[in-house]
Amino acid sequence: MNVTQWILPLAAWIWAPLMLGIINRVKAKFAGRRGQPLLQLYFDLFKLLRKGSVYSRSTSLVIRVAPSVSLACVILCTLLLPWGGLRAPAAFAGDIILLAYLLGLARFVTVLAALDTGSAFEGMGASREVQFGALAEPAFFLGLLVLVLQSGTLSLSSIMSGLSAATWQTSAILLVLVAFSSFVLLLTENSRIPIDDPNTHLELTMIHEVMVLDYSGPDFAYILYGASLKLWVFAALVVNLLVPMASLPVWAQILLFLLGIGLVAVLVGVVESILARLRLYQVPKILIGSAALSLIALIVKMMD
Amino acid sequence: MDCPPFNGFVSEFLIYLAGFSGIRTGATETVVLAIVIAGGLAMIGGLAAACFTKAFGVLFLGEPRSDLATGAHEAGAAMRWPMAVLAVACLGIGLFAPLALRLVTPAVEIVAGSDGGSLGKSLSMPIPLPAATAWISFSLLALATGLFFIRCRLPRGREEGLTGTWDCGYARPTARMQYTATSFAQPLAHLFRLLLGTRTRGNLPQGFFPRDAKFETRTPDAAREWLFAPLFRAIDRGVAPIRRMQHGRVHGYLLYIAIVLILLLIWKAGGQS
Repeated sequence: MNVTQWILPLAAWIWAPLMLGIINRVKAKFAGRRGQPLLQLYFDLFKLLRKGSVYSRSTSLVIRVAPSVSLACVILCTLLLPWGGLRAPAAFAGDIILLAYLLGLARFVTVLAALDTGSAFEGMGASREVQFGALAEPAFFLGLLVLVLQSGTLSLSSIMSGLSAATWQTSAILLVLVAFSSFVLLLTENSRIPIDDPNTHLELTMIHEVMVLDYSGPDFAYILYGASLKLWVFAALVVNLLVPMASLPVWAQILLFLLGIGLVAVLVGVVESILARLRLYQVPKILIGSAALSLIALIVKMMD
Repeated sequence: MDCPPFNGFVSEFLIYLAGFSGIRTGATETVVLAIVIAGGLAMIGGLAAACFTKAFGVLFLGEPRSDLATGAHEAGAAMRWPMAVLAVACLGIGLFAPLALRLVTPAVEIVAGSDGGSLGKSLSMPIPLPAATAWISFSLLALATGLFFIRCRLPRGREEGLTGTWDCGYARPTARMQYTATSFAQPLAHLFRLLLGTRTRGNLPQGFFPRDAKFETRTPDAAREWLFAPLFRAIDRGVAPIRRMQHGRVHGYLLYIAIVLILLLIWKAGGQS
């Protein structure tokens, strides 16, 4: 067990909420506003943690336990993430499968908690979430297959540390396709425009945001913090794919990685500013298209 | 349950691992097989999540959806503890996956042959990997419990207000406005409408003061209507001529027996000479 390995999860736990601050700042600049403080989410989290909570009379134990379980899932995900050449603290062969399943479990409990309230809104969000989840999972796994085929290892840490400038010369097309597919999944799984709109509270267009309407106090803090960690997890995957840093010294890797995460946040902000939200019927096409990109990458790799 | 820390996850983990290991050989056939396994299993996993949230959510969560459900009560202990045993077994297999695998290994060796080539070799390989998943399952349980504990120890963590579900300011929400099994599955059913063949019937409200409106959907069981029903009908037609022999007249049956006996005698005699 190496101490430097724990820098990455620690960085994720500390800086993940900042990503949403950056996204909101970029969106504000595009709209000509000053925007909320960069640290707004931290303020919100601390405020919520000091409050009591309110539950619906229809609810049971499920909604009380769900925030802790889903946050635990995402925290474990951050333990599986490598950092350029640095291995993840909990890395083992096959951890990529576990990553997908932990995110799946987080989704599962969130959906159950949404149904627990008996609200028509939350039922609607839950129903959409499982639909898009069923399409996003094959896309995610096909992307993983490309990486396994490319690197010949089953551990995320080994896959990422195998990526170098030489990989870019031989199979740049694979990395670009998979990274693009991962970015689409990032937008989907984190309810960003053009899939979902995190700002349309109480509109009939939402997916993820509507499922958490009935949380309050510390529970809502857990949900918000979990959402920001999840955004970090997907951003870290994209950065690892696009920036070959395995051969650099550790301090340069750390700097480059954090810079990359920041750039992904800026990119999400730009995408949200210049694109409109898609009609719901178009979302499955986006997800199937993202799976198709990974499939193309697989075929390209097989033709080599 | 196909999520960690339960048993289904261990099984699916091994299937994925087999698929992903296959892809490393690089042979085209195994790669194609791995794509089918990984893509198909991921799709199945997503649909299973939809199915289980629907079943559990509609049955157990929210407000009672019918008069019958309002009077529902817990079953007796004798009906509950067998299910509790099964549930504990599900969790136990997930948490102690290496032990469970060791129990299964002899059976796999019989199927694969103890020398079993590549399979026999890889049998010894996956044991440490489920150990890793078991370790993760334990930490997941511990972490979730810890987070829940922290949440309860927060300054006002135990303070609980009770209110109605958020209804967007609507005055009279009723239990009938909840999502039902049909409405929950509607987006997925729409996506797979070519396979499911859902039929809708009814008249939608028209004009400013619609007098009546009704709407009805019916999703036939695709496997039963398009696969099993035609298959069994075809078999039925195929064997119909044989059924004519079964007419219920005893002297007819005696005749069959006599004919069979004579045929057997001829066959036996012919075989000896």
